[in-house]
Amino acid sequence: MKTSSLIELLASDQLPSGLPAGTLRKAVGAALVLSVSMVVGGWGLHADLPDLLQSASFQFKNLWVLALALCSGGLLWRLARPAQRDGYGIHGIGLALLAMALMGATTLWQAEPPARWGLLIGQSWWSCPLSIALISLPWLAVFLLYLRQMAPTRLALSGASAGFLSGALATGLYSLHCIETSYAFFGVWYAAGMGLSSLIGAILGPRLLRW
Amino acid sequence: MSDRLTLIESQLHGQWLRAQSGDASSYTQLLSSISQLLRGFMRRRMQTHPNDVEDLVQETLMAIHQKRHTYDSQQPLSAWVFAIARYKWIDHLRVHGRRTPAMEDIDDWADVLSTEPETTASDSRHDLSLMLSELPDKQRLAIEHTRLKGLSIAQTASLIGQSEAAVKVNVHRGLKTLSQRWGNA
Repeated sequence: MKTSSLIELLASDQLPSGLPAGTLRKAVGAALVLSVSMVVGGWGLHADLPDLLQSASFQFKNLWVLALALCSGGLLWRLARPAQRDGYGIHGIGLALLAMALMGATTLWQAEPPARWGLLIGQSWWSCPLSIALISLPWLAVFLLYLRQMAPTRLALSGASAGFLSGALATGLYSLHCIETSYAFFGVWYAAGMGLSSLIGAILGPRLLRW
Repeated sequence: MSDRLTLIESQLHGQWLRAQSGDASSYTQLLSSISQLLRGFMRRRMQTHPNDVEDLVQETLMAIHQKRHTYDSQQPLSAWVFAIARYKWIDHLRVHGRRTPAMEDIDDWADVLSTEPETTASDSRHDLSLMLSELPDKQRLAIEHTRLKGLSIAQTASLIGQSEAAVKVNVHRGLKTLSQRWGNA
């Protein structure tokens, strides 16, 4: 085909580009229903929910998760668009992770030596990252769908940021089940869960996001 | 940003805004201007595969059309266009298994800064490739490498697997055929 005929063809196409907003909204709704019912039905809510919601460790932890979600969400927004500057999302994520790691280190340092191991490992160190990664999958699907109709130029990084954001949302939901209270635990195992989601996203990105 | 880029940017951006408000003729103009920029961009990068240039231009134009909702009107339109072009170019190299340069050469942007229109050059090269396509492969390859890409006889010989003497003979014969066929036209 001649380029000039292609241009005529494109100029005559008046339909808006991209997914209709409603499709994405439905996908978000579906992910929300699915991930909430996974936590409530599969993992089960914390036995003493009112107490949990008022505890300082729960509130601080979720403030941290919120910061991580905002940073990775901003990063995702930028990566979805060609020639956007990266912004400070990655820096924000790094700082938040570092902050929690420092809080955790302080906790360990102040604790009696025999108690340290327990604060770091808790009772659910191995199931926590896996649970977060599993609960994040519906969200990851939504964000990959979003990226597919956008125009990411760095596919692995875009996939990873979609994974991190889904991991952060999953962590917020999972915290309604989790019985751990130590910052050292959050700084290592929650971060590992979000890292696992990012890894899944980074692997899927180049395969699913080509355009 | 150089003056030339600023000028291109302000023209394109104005056309873009008119086009997005539903003015199809502005959109046609815009895509034509963009296609010229793209042709220069791709030609610089695809010197060893000039036949793929127009395919890449068209693929990028289609992507620009399909992904136009990802343009944020606060950002420079040309940056957005070239980012898509760069993605399409690298994707093409990836699919065809060719190496990408790790760095961008500043000379690659010369086409954006140059004052010569890209269309004229495009048409003439297209005609030449038509003429060449009628030659036997051995002669066509010899001419393309030595005369169009400016390689030496020795480089050409090793690239296309002919002896140096054969390259010289094939260039000579090919040019003779061409001048007989087209020289008087």
